Amino acid sequence: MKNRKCMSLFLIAIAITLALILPAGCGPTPQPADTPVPPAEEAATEAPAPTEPPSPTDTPEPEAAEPKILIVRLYERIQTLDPAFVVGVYDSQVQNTVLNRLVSYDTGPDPREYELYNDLVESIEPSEDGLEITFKLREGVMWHRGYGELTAEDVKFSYERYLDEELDSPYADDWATLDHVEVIDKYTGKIILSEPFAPLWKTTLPIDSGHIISKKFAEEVGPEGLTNDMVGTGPYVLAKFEPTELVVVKRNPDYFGEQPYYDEIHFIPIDDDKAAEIALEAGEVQFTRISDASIQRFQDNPDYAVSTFPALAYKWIGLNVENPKLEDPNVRQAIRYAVDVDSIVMATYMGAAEREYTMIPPGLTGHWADAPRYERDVEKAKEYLAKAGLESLDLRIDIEDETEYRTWAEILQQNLKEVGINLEVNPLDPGSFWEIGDGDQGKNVELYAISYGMGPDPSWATMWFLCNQVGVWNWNRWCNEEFDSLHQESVTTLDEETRHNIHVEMEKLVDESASFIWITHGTSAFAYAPNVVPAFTPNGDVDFHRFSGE
Amino acid sequence: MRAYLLKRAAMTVLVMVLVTVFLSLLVQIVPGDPAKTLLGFRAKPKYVERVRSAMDLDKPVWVQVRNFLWKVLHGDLGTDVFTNRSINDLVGRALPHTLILAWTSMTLAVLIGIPLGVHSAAHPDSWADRITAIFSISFITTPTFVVALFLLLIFAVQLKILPAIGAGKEGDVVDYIRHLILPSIALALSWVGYLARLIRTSLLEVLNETYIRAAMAAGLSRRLILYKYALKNAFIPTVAILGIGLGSLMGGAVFIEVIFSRPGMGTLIYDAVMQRNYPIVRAGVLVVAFLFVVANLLADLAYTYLDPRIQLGKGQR
Repeated sequence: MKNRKCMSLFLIAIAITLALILPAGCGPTPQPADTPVPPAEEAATEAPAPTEPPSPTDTPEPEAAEPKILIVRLYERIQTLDPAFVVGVYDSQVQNTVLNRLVSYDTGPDPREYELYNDLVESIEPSEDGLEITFKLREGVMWHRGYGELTAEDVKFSYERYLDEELDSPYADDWATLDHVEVIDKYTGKIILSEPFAPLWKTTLPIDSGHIISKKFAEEVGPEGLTNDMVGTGPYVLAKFEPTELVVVKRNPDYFGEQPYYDEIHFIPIDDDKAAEIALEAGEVQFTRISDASIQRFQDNPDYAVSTFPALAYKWIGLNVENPKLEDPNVRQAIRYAVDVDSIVMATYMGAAEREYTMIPPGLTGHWADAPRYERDVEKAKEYLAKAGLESLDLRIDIEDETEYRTWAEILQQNLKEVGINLEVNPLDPGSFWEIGDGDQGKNVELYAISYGMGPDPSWATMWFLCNQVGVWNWNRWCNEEFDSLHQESVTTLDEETRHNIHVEMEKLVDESASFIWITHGTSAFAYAPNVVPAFTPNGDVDFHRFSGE
Repeated sequence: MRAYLLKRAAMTVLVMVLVTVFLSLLVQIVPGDPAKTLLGFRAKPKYVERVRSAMDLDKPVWVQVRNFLWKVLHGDLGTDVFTNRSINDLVGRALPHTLILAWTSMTLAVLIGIPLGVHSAAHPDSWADRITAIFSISFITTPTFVVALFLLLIFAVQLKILPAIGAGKEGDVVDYIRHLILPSIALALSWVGYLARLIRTSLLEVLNETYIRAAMAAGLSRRLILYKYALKNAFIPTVAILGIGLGSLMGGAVFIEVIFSRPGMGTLIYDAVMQRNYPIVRAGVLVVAFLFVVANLLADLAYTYLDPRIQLGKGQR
């Protein structure tokens, strides 16, 4: 009798398990793979009538061939579908497959240079003074899901949003000198600038802030709606948007350009690099970013292809020039000569990345090829320390608690010890770390190790070290008026060579400050199934819609 | 009994309020700004302010707590400031995955751990008992994420017979179960060992009781004594542990969900903590805390079921 009670406990347990699984498993009705369905229910009901697929009887499938699906990893869950609020590369990677720009960067399996091609435009021409850019759109480009034809009004809407104070886009700087967009006729318009803006052609038009969104759709759903749904003109249509689980885009049969190779792209968010590598090895994703430490392992394995690129980033050890311990330039020189950067690079990246000597990466306008190459010199370091009237010194380095920066800090600690400087290493979680330089508390920063990313324009790097960035992102608290005015000059100068020289001058000022110890530009590495033919920019940005297969 | 339940309900509310207050205070103590953590350099001061105000972070703690609890009472966990998605939806999608994982693991642990424990106690110091002991202790001491990685490498990467990541295709129950196997084993394993040890110890203790000796003297079969009289009493401490265990499994699920990229509560809260997305952290932790309290209540109620001598709420425990 009583035994039955125990038995019934087990039965109840099993029943509950099944009861839990079944609804989760059966939840929302599965979407048939070949009907493009608008992702957000609200949008679906409000969307104006239909380029919805006709009933299956009208269009017999030519062949019930297996759809070609590319499954890729996003390294974090996607945050937004609105280009004006992009948080990370993972947002752009999805947006790129659905939206177009007026012009975009060409991508390929092994690109060498940044080259623009006409994306939505037939022609686009800047005026002599760079203040007016006249564009002529392709005719007959249709918005997804029946939102009509692309017109110059859409371009006007997409760009002028950035000026909207109410919207308060964090990317308003990309359109810093935009005055307005003039619509001439249905397909023609003019972008009018109040001042010339050199980064426009490099990091505004061909990147996120250059994406064109549907005015009609945006007005219909409002700014909130744009974070969760997207109507574009691109080769893929958004078909499923579950940011924590899966994002699916499906081929747009009416795409104006060349049809993409894959019928569907599935984006799966996997936070952890190691987990993503296992997923690749288990065959569950076909393409992922990999950690520097895994490059060799995948290169040695014939089952995978690997691509590595010099990243668009710059990593350095920063010295706060306002901190009383570091305000004497001799102390900063002592540290610069004490550090063995080559060892740091070797120990951290194990051959996967090269040492850097400047802020701007090679290949970009403004890269200072003749920058001085500081080698470790303990005697010189001691001399500088003596010049500062010191024999020993206690310092602290704040780092993000990651293997990369821990390795840097450990080597630095050893190096400095030999010249009489005791270094305390202070590892912090990302949230805490990214705040250390804020406002007046930033004065307490001594040394820090950090990495900044950038776009393919030098002003993206230099803008963070202006005087007005002290207490914001300029944690060195190094303020140089000449540097500031050169930066302003660079942004408004259109001649490439002049800009290059301006930036080299700026790098010289940075070097004189002795407050930056450059480590590397880093590497972006990707591993993928050998039958996947990827498409990258020269610095390893990925264009999934241009992927093909073998 | 009704008085007891009322008391427990009041306690639950109190726990919820305390958790909320604690989390709101935590926001004040822990450094890191949500907008800056998420947007990096792009977070302009004005935008940072806007995000802070949308998250109520610019208001005093008691206002934050009041606003939040008021909304919760109306069944609204809030809105994610960055994605504009309702947190109810986020939690609603994530919670089933975690509940299923925790529940399946617990069921697995019970189904394997208890028979092992009983067998060990029935044959103390036999070779089977010793082997069980070795395995139990190994399972208990191996960290869950290590087990998870091993399982992944063996079954997903080498043998390629089970999937490595995600929760399976929506609407496909078989696929869902396949995706559940490795994570639930990884999560269950240390509990298998733990339960086996626990049952063995408490069963041995019960077997020394006089009423068991009396039963033996009366000539009842060993099997009957073991399963009918001894096990039920030995079960009581285990049930208490299981109640807390379900809560700790929800915690352990964080690692497992991150490793297996399962879109559950663990991943949701983990991401939110890393991004300092406080409204999600607050709502997520509140839901987990609530479940924890409920699991404990159920465990308490199960005592009376197993042993009617225990009367809840009358101070006789």
